[in-house]
Amino acid sequence: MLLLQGLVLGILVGGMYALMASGLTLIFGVMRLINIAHAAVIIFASYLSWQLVLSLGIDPLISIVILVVVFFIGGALLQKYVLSALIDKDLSLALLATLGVANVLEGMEGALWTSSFHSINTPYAENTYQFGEIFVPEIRIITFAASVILLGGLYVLLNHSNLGRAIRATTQNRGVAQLVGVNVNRITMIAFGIGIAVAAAAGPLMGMYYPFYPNSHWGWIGKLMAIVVLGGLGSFRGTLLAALVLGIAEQVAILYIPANWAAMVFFVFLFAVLIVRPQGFFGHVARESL
Amino acid sequence: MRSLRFTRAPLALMVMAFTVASCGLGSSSATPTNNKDIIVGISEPLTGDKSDIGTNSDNGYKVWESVVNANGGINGRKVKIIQYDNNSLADTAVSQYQKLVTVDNADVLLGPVSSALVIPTEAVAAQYNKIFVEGTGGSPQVFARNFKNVFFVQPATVEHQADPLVNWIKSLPADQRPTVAGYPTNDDPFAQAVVDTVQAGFEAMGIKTGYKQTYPPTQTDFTAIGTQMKAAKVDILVQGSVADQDAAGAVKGYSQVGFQPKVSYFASGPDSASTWLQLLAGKAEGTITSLDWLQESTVPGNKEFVDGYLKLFPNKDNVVPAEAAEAYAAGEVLAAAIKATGGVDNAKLISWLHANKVQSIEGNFGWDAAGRPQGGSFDLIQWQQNHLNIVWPSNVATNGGKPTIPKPTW
Amino acid sequence: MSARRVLAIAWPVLPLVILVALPFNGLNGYLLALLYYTFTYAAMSVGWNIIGGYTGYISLANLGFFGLGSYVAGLMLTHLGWPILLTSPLVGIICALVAAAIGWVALRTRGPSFVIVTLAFTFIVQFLALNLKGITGGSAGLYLPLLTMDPLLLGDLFYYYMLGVLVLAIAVAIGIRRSRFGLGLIAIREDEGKAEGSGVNTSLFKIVAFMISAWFAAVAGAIHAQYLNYVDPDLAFELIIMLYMIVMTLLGSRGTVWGPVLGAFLLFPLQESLVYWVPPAIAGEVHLALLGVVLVLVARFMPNGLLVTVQNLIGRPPPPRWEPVPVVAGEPTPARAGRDE
Repeated sequence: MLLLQGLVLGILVGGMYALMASGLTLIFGVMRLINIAHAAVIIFASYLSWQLVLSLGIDPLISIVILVVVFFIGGALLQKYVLSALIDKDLSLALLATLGVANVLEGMEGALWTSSFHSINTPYAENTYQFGEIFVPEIRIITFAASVILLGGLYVLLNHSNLGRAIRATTQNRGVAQLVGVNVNRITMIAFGIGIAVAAAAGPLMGMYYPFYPNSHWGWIGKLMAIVVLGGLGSFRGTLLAALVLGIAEQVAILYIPANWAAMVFFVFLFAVLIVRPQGFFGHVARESL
Repeated sequence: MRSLRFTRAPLALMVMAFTVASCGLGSSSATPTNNKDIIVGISEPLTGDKSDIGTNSDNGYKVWESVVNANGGINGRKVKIIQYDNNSLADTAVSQYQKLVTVDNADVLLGPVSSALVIPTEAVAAQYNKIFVEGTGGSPQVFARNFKNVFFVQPATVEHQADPLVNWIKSLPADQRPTVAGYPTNDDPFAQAVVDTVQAGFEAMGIKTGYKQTYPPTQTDFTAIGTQMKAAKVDILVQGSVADQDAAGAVKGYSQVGFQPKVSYFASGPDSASTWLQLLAGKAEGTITSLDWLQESTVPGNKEFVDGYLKLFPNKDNVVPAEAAEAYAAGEVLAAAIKATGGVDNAKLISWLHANKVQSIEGNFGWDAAGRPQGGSFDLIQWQQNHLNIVWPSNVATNGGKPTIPKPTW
Repeated sequence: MSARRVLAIAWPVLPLVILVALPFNGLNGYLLALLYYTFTYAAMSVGWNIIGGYTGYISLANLGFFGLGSYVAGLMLTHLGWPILLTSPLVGIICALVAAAIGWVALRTRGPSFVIVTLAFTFIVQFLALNLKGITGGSAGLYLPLLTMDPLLLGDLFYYYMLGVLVLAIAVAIGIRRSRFGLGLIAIREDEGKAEGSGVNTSLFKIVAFMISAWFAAVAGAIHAQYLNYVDPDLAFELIIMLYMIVMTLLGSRGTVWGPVLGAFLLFPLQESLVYWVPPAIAGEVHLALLGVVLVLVARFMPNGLLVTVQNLIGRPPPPRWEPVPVVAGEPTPARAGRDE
């Protein structure tokens, strides 16, 4: 019973983890850049969604639409005017710039919303369904379903559109993509924008699931990195699978080991992968030897 | 010649850096010294992760300053607070207390909010032999180093915070007592100290321990913990929560997986008045915690404090936070000592407080050699029909309240 | 030897003399504390620069070493009674050995894993500090016996101690810069493949650079533990410490000897006084956001840092430094991207 309950909760949370991590892996794919600000962007979107509920009464699920558009534009601008110049010059500067962005967001959130916990409450998500001994909270079904729909959309975009083909070509080999006529710079900008937009979509869902506060993104970025490394950096399919695996591992582990050690699950996986199978499930080698 | 390239620019920049540095320092070290005023030094976390309680506490100090000065000061001398924001960072707090003592010439010091900030800063005060009165850092470690200059202004240390819970359960007829207890505890010295005493007391009267586990301070998902406690048939919950957030998160998680104990005690959370209701709405009903101070309390001086607070910091629900009361009481204690000794000789203040009880809005109690309060006690409070009532001990109960057991489902 | 040449080599003596003399002119406890912190950050930034600047590998592990150093030193004091002011070099060596192990996993090869592993390392050390309660005291932290001494003398002691560590850090940085080892590190930064081809043992060089970098972070952590008489998992792993090291180095000039020192002496006093200028209710948050803004702006518009930029402005050819590999616009060189082969 206990195990089954853990499995159900793990799959539900894994769906959201997948959405949170897929933008990170997409950005890594096209830019070879680890976006340290990724979780900070998610939390920022959670705050904006919370504010939209409070001041305009906009449902968090509806606010996803607004946030996706705004964050896509913001991400594309950031890439175009700050990061792209750095990518060509020195990737480590771009990495540090994302670290800077993370701190700007954190400081700004603290100044605007104070440092206390926030959580997005909806009137309709208070129920819990009971199947025999298994309890399934309605809120988790909603966030899971929303995550699956959004990921499905992203999958179709990447696999069945010209834009998606160009993004995948750029991910696989920039030089060759350029040779076959892909405008690599523009594609990179759009792909970065999409990555940030996906993070924005995850924000309201995360905020309905868990309380958040300005520096909670540090805990999340560690988890997300473990997911993308396990999935194979840059691999979309791998990230989905890894998110489910880690979501289940975490929820099951907490039933059998002390709660304060369960967070270690992510780091155990991370180091095990780097030592045993650096390329993760699919995709790129995190620890490549040229 | 090559090495010459390194020379001038760095030198010039170093000089520039020094100039900038010393400007910054110079301007900040201007000291408003008026020999008549009593300078009180405080560093509080007004920003960063402790900003909420830090601001509450700081407001309490401000109310104390205004009330004291409105009444003509202490022994005819006005109180002047010099206060800095430490951004919830211990190193900043430490250097600010250094500054308060050595640059601003503070006569006496009041403490910051939370044990985590009190512990490093009380050592600075000890090094300079300054009195250090504080209202919100009561974990056992605060007193572990036996500093003579530290005074904690709450009725009892945290180990005894939940004593009324144990006493109340003990008073129940055997057939009404819960039988299995669950102790999920935040990884925090304060919460652990509360929970450990309750567990010892319960086990002594035969209540089994069905669940005892520590969760990390970042824990936000309590469904798994709820599932385990339900499986262990826990019927009395004693949650070592540190804030309304982890307590509220726990309630939500438990209700989602159908964990319904008969009694639910939280070390912290239900006391945060309107926030608790706002976070939980109907699920708040029946939750219990202990309290050192209640806004409606009739303790001497409380009305003056509550009125003063609402005048300086009006809010639509007319709520006065507990941290403000604790800070205000710390101020009262300090003022009593200054009044009795007739000055700000820190050695005299310290020995006077070790020898005397002081009546403050936190109660009437004294201190042992390490600054632990002696002779006060906490009360048990419960949410009943969206209202906080003192329910135990019965001689101080408000609105004729008695503890509701079993509590309604959440 | 000409006078100019003497000046070129000996100029650091002047600021050093000033710093040594300062406490004799009645510095109060607060200024002593402020300069002590500045030295601490400067020494850590110089250390970070050896891996992050000279070698070009962004390490987020130095915060982990700072915290680990605090704990190792604190535990040796509480369990064995060894005074931290004496054991700190040893603490540094222990942490450097840990760095060797981490480096072995992350640095044998190239690629993005280094930054992930170093960040994970910091989280793990913090996690263990919090959860190995039997050893570390968990969230309650470790309480260290106070050094019984007049507070001003104590302030002097820490001041001179950290000044000494800073001087050592700068001496090491100069030494590396002038050695074959240093040339090897810079070669790795410029083009790791070529460096390896020309016979540099890149793995070994990177690991040694990482160890030296860790040593300074750990020593700073150890001294800081004694300074506060207290270690706890929040205090020892404040993320802002990591941010400081990086921003100070980048602002000053990455890959130069004096850049990180300059960055620390500019930034720390400025941020410290910010609290007294900005409305208190938002000072802390503004401060964090400002550090982030500085980081982004410097990375974008002044990636060479103040020192090199000013040297360029006054027309002196800069010392060999961060030279971008020429690229065709829009097409990163194979060394930086397209790692799929």
